[in-house]
Amino acid sequence: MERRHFLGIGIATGFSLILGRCVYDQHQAFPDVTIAQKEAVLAACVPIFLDGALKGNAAQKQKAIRRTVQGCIAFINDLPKGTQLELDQLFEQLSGQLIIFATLGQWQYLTHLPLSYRAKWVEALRHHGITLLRQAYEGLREMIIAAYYVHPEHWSALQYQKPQLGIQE
Amino acid sequence: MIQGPINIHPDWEHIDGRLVFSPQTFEADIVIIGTGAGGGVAAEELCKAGLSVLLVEMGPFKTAKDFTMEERTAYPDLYQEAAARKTKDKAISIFQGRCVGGSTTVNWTTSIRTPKPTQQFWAERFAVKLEGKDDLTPYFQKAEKRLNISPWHVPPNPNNAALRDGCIKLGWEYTVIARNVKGCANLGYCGMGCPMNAKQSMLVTTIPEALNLGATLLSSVYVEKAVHQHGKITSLTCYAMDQNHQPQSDIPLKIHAKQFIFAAGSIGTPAIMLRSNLPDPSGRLGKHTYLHPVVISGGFMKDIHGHSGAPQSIYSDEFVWKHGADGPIGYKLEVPPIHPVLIGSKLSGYGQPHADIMHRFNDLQIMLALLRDGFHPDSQGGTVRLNDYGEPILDYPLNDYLWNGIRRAFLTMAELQFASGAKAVFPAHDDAKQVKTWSAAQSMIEDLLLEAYRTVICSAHVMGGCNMGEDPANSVVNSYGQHHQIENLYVFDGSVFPTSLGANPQLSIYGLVYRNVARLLAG
Ligand SMILES: Cc1cc2nc3c(=O)[nH]c(=O)nc-3n(C[C@H](O)[C@H](O)[C@H](O)COP(=O)(O)OP(=O)(O)OC[C@H]3O[C@@H](n4cnc5c(N)ncnc54)[C@H](O)[C@@H]3O)c2cc1C
Ligand code: SF4
Repeated sequence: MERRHFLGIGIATGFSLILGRCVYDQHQAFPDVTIAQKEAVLAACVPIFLDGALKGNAAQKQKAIRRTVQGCIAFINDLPKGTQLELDQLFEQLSGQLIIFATLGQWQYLTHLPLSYRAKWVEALRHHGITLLRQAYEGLREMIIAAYYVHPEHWSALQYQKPQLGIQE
Repeated sequence: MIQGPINIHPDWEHIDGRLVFSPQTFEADIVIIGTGAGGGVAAEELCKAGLSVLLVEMGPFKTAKDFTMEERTAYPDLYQEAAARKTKDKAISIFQGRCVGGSTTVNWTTSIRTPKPTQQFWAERFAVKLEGKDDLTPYFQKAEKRLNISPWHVPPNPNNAALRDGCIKLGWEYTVIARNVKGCANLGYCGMGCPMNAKQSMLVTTIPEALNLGATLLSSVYVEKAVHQHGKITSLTCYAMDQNHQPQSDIPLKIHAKQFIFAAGSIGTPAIMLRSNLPDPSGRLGKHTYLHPVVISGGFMKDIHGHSGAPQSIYSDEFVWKHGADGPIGYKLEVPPIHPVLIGSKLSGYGQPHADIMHRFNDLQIMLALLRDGFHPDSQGGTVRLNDYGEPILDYPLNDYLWNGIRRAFLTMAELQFASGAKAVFPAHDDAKQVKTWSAAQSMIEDLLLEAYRTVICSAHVMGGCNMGEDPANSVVNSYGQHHQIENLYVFDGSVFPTSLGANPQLSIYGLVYRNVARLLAG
């Protein structure tokens, strides 16, 4: 086994203990993560998950990203308290540098990473051996894809339309 | 004829918990928790018998005029956890209704009687009474009449037709589905609430009738727990919900009654019992919760338009009982309605490859395999537990027995899709590629690493957790839904099933509850 790979596993295992204590811990109080922090993390992730789906010029893409981020925030408010706590704990991690170090080996903030590194980071989450990071990938993926495709503004690319009803009162 | 929306009638006794701002107390002969398949049938029958009935439902009272055929309103308004409920390890997505009408408001109208092998298994293993005067047949007939259930002879939409055509080609069994509809316009939006009132859900049949007969309905009111002493429940402690569907513990509502019916569904009913610390000598409360875990296979065929037309009109039971009830796991083949969020979020991947699939949305054919869990020693289902907030979480372990069935199901679905003309097929799995031939699909699927997260798994059929049986050592309630230890408590919902069904659950619940409520009324 290559030395770098071996170190990587060591780091990952160590961090799984730290993350395992922090993320998805029902016994913790709600962490201090602001809506602005959640929005920043989501805005950093959306262009990666929706690459190929986001259409139009830069301004139109920005608008779609904002709409998707707002959709995610509204969705979280409707979840049970336990799930909201888990997500807040996840967003707290995603707002810090540790999770980037655990996945990419760099002390950096997700929101400071250039697009290509964010793409690498998402792939690292997706294939990570630590269950919590796989869960984070799935959670972000589903939430962002759902928040994007709920909007009728994004249906034309799918040629999807709802029927028009003439209802008899 | 297409009917107009039924609005909430001004004469109905309906209290919206979101508009309750101070503690209150209520009283009735019988309280029913939950207004879904079980709660709805029980409410109408008990009201017809002249009893004073109070219904408590944690979800909102939405009607056809609210059903905009958009997932952005349907999921947060009508589904548990905004349609994002998951098992403890997040490996399985769970869809359940949370609104007046429960899951029947959002279900896909497929109506199937409890399969005979399932009934036999329950009778043999749990001594469930299903023979002679306890035979369910007349009660299925009653439900079919009340809910206008009959085979759907309108031609299937192309998504369902692909299932049928593949079966014909391969010589496999298939059946035309019976649906609970009246004046159905074949829209395909049953999962977002029927905007026509054509679906004969509890929302438009038994609940309005119970309200016409004088029942009181508390909507957006969450039952926290039952207070009990000396083997009897004396009252319920409930909380009014806020606009974000969160229980408000500073607005408690107290409900007193003589009899209590729990119809909060699987996960919901065991959760109330666990919060109430009800006796559990069998140790089975919350345990043996089944899901019919569903795996998905996508295919490309021209002009499927799977969002349009009755969502389910054909199924195949070719593989459900092939290896006997308790052999390697069997699976039922069906298709889902294809809407952007439902399907977009359940296909693997993201970014350009995912967008490429979505851009071919109308050519997408989706096949489902529902695995029949609960019949084998290695398939004992999941366990409902409570988190620190008292919220239920289902821990459903995945094991080799299930993975073996999932691999066979992926193979079957791919074979079926190619037989019905698919140009390419891809199982919903993180490592799966689009393949163009059945032999390429075979070698890819044989090599797939099947594990949590890589494999997309979901469920819309939650069953068990409060199983029925005649021996208190291996069941929570008796064959008639009466709790073994708490005399005035009945469970009338899908949580009483000792295994999964091998068929979509609603008609099994209707039939069983018609029988058991008749028994309750007979004293
Ligand atoms: C999307 C979807 C599609 C489906 N399609 C089909 C189909 O085509 N055919 C079929 O046979 N089955 C289908 N089903 C399943 C079927 O609808 C359910 O199995 C059936 O409705 C379950 O009935 P139930 O009475 O056990 O619970 P439910 O119908 O789920 O009702 C339980 C009710 O209790 C309420 N509740 C829960 N906890 C509390 C509490 N603490 N306080 C107050 N209220 C509470 C819930 O909000 C809910 O409204 C589908 C389900 C879904 C979600
Ligand atoms: S297909 Fe479903 S939503 Fe459409 S009219 Fe028929 S029952 Fe209603």
